[in-house]
Amino acid sequence: MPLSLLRKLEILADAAKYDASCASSGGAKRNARDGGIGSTTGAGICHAYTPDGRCVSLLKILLTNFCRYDCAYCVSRRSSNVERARLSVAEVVQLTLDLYRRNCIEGLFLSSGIARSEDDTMSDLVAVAKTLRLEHGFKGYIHLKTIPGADERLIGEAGLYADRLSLNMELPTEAALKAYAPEKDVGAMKKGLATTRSCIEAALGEAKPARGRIGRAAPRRFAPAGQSTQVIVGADRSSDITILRNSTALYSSYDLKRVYYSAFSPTGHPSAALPDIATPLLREHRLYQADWLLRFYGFDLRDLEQATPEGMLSLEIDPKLAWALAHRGDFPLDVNKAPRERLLRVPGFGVRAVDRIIAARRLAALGLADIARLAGAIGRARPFIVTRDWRPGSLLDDGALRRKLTPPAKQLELFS
Amino acid sequence: MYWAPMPIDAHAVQFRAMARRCLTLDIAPAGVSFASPDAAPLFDRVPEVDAPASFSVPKAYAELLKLAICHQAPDRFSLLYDVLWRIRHGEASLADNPADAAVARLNDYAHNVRRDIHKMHAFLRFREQRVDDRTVFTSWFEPKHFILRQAIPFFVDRFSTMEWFIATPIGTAAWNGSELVYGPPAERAPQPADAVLDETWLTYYRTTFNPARLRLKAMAAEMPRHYWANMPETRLIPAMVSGSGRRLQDMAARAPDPVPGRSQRVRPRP
Ligand code: SF4
Repeated sequence: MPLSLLRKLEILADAAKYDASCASSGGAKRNARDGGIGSTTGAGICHAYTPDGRCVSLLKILLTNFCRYDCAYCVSRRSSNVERARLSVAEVVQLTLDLYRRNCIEGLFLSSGIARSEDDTMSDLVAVAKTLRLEHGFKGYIHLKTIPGADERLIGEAGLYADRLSLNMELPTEAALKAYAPEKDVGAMKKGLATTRSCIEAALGEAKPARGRIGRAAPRRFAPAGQSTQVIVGADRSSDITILRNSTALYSSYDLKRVYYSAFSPTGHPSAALPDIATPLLREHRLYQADWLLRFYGFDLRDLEQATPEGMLSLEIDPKLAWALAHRGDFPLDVNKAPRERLLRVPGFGVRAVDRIIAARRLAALGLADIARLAGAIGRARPFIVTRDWRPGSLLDDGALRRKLTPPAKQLELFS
Repeated sequence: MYWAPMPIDAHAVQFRAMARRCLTLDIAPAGVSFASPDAAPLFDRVPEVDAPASFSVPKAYAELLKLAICHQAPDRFSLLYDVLWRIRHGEASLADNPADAAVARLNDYAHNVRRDIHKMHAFLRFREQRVDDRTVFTSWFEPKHFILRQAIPFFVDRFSTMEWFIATPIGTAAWNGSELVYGPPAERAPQPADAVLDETWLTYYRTTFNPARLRLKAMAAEMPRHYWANMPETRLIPAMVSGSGRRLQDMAARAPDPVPGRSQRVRPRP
């Protein structure tokens, strides 16, 4: 009996949910004032949240979960006995437009198992995006997966219609990939990321003014929201520092917008090679914090290595606090004088808080209460700063400081 | 003491006119009470003036005014006037100083208003209806603040080729494909059925949830209960949460999958 559309949606959304990316931000702003349907504001919108705390922004779905590969961490691997389904190009287009018109989603995030050849799979993904854009004038957000090993021309075409492209590395080292995804061609994955990068750069390069001409041509559209990848955390035994070192290399080699971290979680279809044991979500969270420090707070990998002797980030305290506790000699900082890059190193100060502090201190010398208001909270920062009316004194040298700043272990919200 | 009548959903233009009158008459913030035009008057109205002073305000103040005035807090008008008064009396860059208590409070109002606008863009749901021979997408939404006119242009940009009608307790907005018409406050009417919203969307919402990752506080922080009544998917939440423990136990108990026969035959193409 053929599966109903709802049942197919269920199977293929279930298979797609392990992809952490849901961003609908970045890229060009568009609207439907001149026809078609949809808009992108550049900021991204979460249209709902599920009880896992994650945002629902895009219709995240596979075209098919039939797959010739056998990656141990993946619910769609050929040796899993999960129920299989495939949607036609027309069905995905219809589902996307139906949900979009009800204001349930920002757009589509389409991926696929590799049922036939790499090129066939990539062509189908491109066909969905092309139909949405050209036949329906769809201006919403489209995120497409690129299939490793697919023809470069297909990737070149995908970027014309998609806002974002991504290719998941899934594991942080080549050794781990060899162990758990032995059929995957690491070279082809890297080549895929590199192809997307050069297409993006080529499109941007064309927009530069030609010699002897004044002004810029409008940039050709190619994946204006860039490319990203995902790494599963805790499927293999790689340490946090190994994972972050890999991310640093990926960011610089392929000019990625994001590396997503996805805590390995049970799928209900365990493979013999990998036990179905969940990685603590806190580990994933700490990796994101460390990734942020590397990208927006001026930290480099060595800073983190020094603060993580075993190669693992502390689950108890955040990585910036761990670093500051190991570098007490650099503190306290005078918030009324310290330069921006030093303020960014104060535990508990986010980028926005630092910018607010800098704006406010131009007008008046700041006290502790001002800082509390500008930064939202003061608890973690207090021992590390000097204000108009506050000095931490010996607090900073207190041997018990770490314990005092460790938040009480959170009661896990468990199941009834 | 003077009485400056202000409608509850007053917008920036109305406030500016009143504030210019007050400033022309040199009425200090402590000497004026902004209250609803329907309130029993306790003081004399601010007198009319023939040629109210005209002046420019810093951009930061104009931005703050545009958003903070939509907040439902009754003291927003007097805070805005207080800051304007001080800007006009020597503290030119006051609106840029987040350490000032009044400015901090207005920043907070502006932040909440911006968030409410964002949540309306995110959480409003349309239901498709046949009206006469036309397809109309209708919606009921309850914002927390007076944000209707700030929030609606987004829907025009996005759904310009659809016909739609949005009803809220603070007013309605109707778009027929070329023209936008605002109407008076509405009352909640029964919501018509829509198979895409009631079946497709609910199926997707239920499925994309990962029961191994329960974080209810994170969910509630981003999706405050205030908005739940108009989001059909939220009625699934209790069952999704209570079922997740059982689903996890089932998963944990499961032995590795017996390998399906098919998988012996298929392989990646070389
Ligand atoms: S190729 Fe992709 S879909 Fe197929 S098993 Fe590997 S990760 Fe899963």
